[in-house]
Amino acid sequence: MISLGHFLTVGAVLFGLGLVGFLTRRNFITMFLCAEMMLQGVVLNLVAFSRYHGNLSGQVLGLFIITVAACEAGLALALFLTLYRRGRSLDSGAWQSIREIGVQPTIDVEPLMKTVPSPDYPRLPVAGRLPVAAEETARV
Amino acid sequence: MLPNSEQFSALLSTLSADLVAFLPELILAGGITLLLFLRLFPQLCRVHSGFVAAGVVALALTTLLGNGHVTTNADWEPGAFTGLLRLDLFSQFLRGLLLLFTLLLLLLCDQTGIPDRDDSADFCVLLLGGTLGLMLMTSANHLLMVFIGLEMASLPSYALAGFLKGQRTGSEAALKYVVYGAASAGVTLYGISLLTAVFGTGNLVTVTQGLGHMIADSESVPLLPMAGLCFLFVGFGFKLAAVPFQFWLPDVFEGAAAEVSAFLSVASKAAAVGLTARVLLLLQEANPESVRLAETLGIALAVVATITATWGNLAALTQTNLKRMLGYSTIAHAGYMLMALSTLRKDGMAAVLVYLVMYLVMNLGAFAVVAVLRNRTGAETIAACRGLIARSPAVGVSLTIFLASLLGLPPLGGFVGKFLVFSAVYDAGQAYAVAGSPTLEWVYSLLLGVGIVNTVVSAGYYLAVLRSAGLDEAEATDASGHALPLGEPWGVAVYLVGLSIVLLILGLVWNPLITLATSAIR
Amino acid sequence: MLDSLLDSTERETDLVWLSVLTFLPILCAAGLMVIPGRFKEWMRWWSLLGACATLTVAACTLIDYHRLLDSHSDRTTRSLYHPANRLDHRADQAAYDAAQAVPKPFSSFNMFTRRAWNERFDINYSLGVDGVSLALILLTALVTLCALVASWKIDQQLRGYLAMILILESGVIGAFLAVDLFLFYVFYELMLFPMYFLIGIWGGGRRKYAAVKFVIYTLFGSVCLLAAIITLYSVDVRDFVPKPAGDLRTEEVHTFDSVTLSRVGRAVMLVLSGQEERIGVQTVAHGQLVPTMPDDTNATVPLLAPGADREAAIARLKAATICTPTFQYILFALLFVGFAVKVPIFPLHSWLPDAHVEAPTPVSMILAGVLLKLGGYGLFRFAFPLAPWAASELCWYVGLIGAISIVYGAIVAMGQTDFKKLLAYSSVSHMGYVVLGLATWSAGARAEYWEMGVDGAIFQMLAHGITASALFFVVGMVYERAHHRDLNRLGGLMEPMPAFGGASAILFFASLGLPGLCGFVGEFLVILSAWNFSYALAIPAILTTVLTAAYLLWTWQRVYFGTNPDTAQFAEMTPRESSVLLTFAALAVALGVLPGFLIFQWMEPSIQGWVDALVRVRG
Repeated sequence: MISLGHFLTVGAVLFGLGLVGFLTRRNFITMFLCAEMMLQGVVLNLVAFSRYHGNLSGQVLGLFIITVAACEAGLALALFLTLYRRGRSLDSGAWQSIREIGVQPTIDVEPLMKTVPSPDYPRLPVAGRLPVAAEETARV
Repeated sequence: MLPNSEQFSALLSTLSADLVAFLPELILAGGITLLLFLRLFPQLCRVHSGFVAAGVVALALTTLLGNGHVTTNADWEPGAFTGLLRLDLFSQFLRGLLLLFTLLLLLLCDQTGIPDRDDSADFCVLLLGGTLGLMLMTSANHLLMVFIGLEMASLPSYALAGFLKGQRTGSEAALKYVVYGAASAGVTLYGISLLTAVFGTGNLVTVTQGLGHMIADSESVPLLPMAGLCFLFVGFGFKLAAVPFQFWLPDVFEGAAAEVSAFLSVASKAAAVGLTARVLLLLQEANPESVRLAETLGIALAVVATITATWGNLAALTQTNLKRMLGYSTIAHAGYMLMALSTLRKDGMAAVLVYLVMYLVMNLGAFAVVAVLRNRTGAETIAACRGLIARSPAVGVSLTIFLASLLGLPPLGGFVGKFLVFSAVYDAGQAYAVAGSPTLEWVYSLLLGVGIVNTVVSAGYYLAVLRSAGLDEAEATDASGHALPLGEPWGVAVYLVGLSIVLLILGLVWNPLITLATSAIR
Repeated sequence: MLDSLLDSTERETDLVWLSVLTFLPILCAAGLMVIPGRFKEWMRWWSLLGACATLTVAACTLIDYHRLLDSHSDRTTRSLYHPANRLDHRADQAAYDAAQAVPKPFSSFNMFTRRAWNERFDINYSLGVDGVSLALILLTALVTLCALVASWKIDQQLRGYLAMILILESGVIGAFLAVDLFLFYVFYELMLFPMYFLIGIWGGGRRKYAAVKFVIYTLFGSVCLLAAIITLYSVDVRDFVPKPAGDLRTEEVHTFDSVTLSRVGRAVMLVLSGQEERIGVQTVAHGQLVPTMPDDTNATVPLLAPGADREAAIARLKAATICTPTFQYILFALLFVGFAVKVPIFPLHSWLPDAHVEAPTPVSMILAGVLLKLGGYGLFRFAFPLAPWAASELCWYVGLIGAISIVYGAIVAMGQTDFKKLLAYSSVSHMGYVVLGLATWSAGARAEYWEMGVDGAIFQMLAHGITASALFFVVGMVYERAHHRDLNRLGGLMEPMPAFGGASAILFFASLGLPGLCGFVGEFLVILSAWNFSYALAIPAILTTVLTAAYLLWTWQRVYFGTNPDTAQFAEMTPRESSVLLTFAALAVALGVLPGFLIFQWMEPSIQGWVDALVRVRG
């Protein structure tokens, strides 16, 4: 039998995962998704309680939360888009221009992701143009 | 589930009364729609939307002031809109304050021209929307409305913080605000869900009464509601910028335009203080005789207030950017306000209301000077103030008055605010000693000492600015070595001088204000 | 509006008169704002006119005060003293009148006014004149006037400069007049920023350092003062404030009224010295409080408000925190330190030389002539009456600090080569006499020597106000011609400027205390009373007069005697300069020759009353 406790545990776990993820991740999208996950934990809590108390107030609150969260997500994603256009990066570590005087920006000792050099694929010439052949040196 | 016809007609009749009391908010909502639609008509495009917005706010303000339909919280009546809002004198006071501030801010924006002609409509819509959310916060009587108010105020603020699209710092400020804001909203909501869960409803009166009895009666407070209350206060603390939730504020203030910073610093804080005060008042009213509430929650708030004020003042000492310094000063003032809130007594809450009025004028003035400096010199640093009094006596003297008032020197408004807060703290200590808790007397006496020491520390950074403005030579000089005039438009000068005169008058005549605040609390 | 002005219960001449005296300079400063910037000469004349008007109002107040003194005098006694004229009696009477169920009409023409400013905290706009404050107000108005004449050459940001000086004058006069502690604090703080800017903008090379140092020291003092005021406000004074008949309210009452709080202080003193049976209740006859006559040997001291329950009040007082020695010591220490910074007294004096050296001449004149007096006045008006028990216990130590200031200031002055710095240290030394004079509590039977000491202290403030501002003006004149203040490079000024030399000789001799000039009277009275108080304090003070004579004469010699080709071409003083210098010189002579007729005759009654009130509770 699934009791109230189970729901609350799942809600708390969702909330906790979201909080931990929010605090540890550096990608904007991931951070925001974690914040949304916290909200999902809350909604789960509310709905479970609504059922437990036998009234609708929790569900109404849940509906409102979903709506407001959608608004917030819209605004935040729009902002992230502008930021991405400006900085070509979704790394929150790239945005450190406002900080205390005398505090150096945090610089990663080693890059977060190893950029794998792409293999040297052969390239096709532009259509309708003769390929420029590398001139071979004449050997005598 | 559904109401029967009798209940329905009763609901309808109260609804019409509630709608009348809610008219200022409705006017604001109508104004927002108007501003959005105005751009559809080419011939109306020429109307400056700043003036339209100011007109809307002024209309809302007059409606609010002329509103006779004010319910009092003498008895536990359900409140407006079936208990969702409480449009009593307390909310009337704060809503009036918010509308007045928005009106003044719109006038300032018109002078400094921060939203240019094309952006003006967007800016005004966001500003009015934010104000609407803050007004809902101050009159919330239900956890649902608390959440909606918080979010309605936050979302436009995020957008406003990043309004200077051309600047990298503006976007960064908005980014930091949004990300932290989202997380704090999540935490607040978790608290709300826990509280709703325990008490079966989100009605603040029921919740606080239940909580108050739990704290006062039982020896050990149950974990779930206490955790809920703490999470709720995390959200309030974020809005108030109380330590340890203050980290976003300096960065956001530095990045955002000075006008937006003024909005965040004054309006946002006023609403958060109002909401906190309402919750605390309801908690205290649930159990007026007990000192146990003060021994738990009061001491916790006092500790937060101490750390907040000290942190803000110490961090402000080393700043070179004027907006960032004012940001830290905002944190310090939040600490002073929390000191009065931590008394959990009515005169403490009344002191906070008066403090907010003074704070509105002086902080708006200080940010207005920053905006003028930015416009005329292109810099917002303390060094940009050099020789300000020589370059422009009106701006320089006004800055002196605003900062002296923030420091708390008589006979200016800031002194009155501080004096009321400190005397409320002192009275609380005495009253709790009479009520039989020597610990509390000790705590509040200590808090008073902390407040006074903090005031002395704050002299360091306010005087540094004044030293730069008054004593240092201006960098911009003409051929003969005289300081170049700042060349501010006369409208700004009139605005600043007007604000400083108001500040002086508030410092001399504060009896009516106290009467008003006391009646708002009662 | 007009009706309320003409309504007899609302009308009060004193309110208008004292408010005009206080705010006239600020009004003139506001008037300066509308004069267009190019009419600089107009601005100077306008502010001069304002200062003249203030001096005139102050002088008229003196005449009115004479009338007040006469009103109770029967001309048979030598002195004009009558207890009904004491400031605290007039203040109590006004509070009693205001507390009646049907408020009585304000009594005009008693040089005291009291209006509610803030009911919630019982803050009153109460201003009152007595001999001491009036003497210092006259000095303030005179020195400010002379300072304005002396600043004719200042051209940089003239409007702001004149406005600052006028605002400063208002603040000082308001502080001298205020009876309510809160009001006093407001005026006291009002002086901070004008002085800061006057030193910081128009000062010399290290002006920023000096200005900031001045502000930090002053703020430290005023924080101590604020702490003391808050402490006093926390005292429950319900048995000391008059209530309408039949008022049975029993809640605590707090007040900022210094006169009420000084009655509390005296009651505490009686309790702490084990004479609580002497605490009495004030009596009322025909709606007037009955004052205690000086020859009244009745053992009870009426301190409680009319209608108070004596037994319950004493029980309440004994249970209160204020009635503990620790509390009284802390209170007195806070007040003393708060005012000692302004005086300044030995360990807290180091802002003064810097401020003086960097300030422009007219500001130095005001600083030495007026602002320092506020510290002495604060000790007289607030520190001693509000915590009399602690004051009487600690008075020897207070006197010791004064004596150390006297000796230290003189010795350090001896070693200076900067003319202005030398005068600054001589100020420290001279103001030490003020503290010493106030501290000679209960020397002799019925404290006639203490009265002498307080007389001397207040007179010393006046004399120092005149000589110090004049000497700073002398330095300013020399600096204008020589462009330095180094005593070793000056000399021979007597030759090109004989009239200047003659006038300044009078002031130098007045400063070193030559009999027949004003500096002698104060120092003599103080030393006389110190001799009867404690030899250990009197002997250093006496010996220092020799030191003072030495360094001042040596300075005189270095500046005026000899021949010096560098100074031979200096121009004689101009009519403008001579008008200032000769005024001061004439006053120095007049006060030295006729101190009784010019000053003591109307100032002494207030001091007599002050001493009488405190000595009566000493037992």
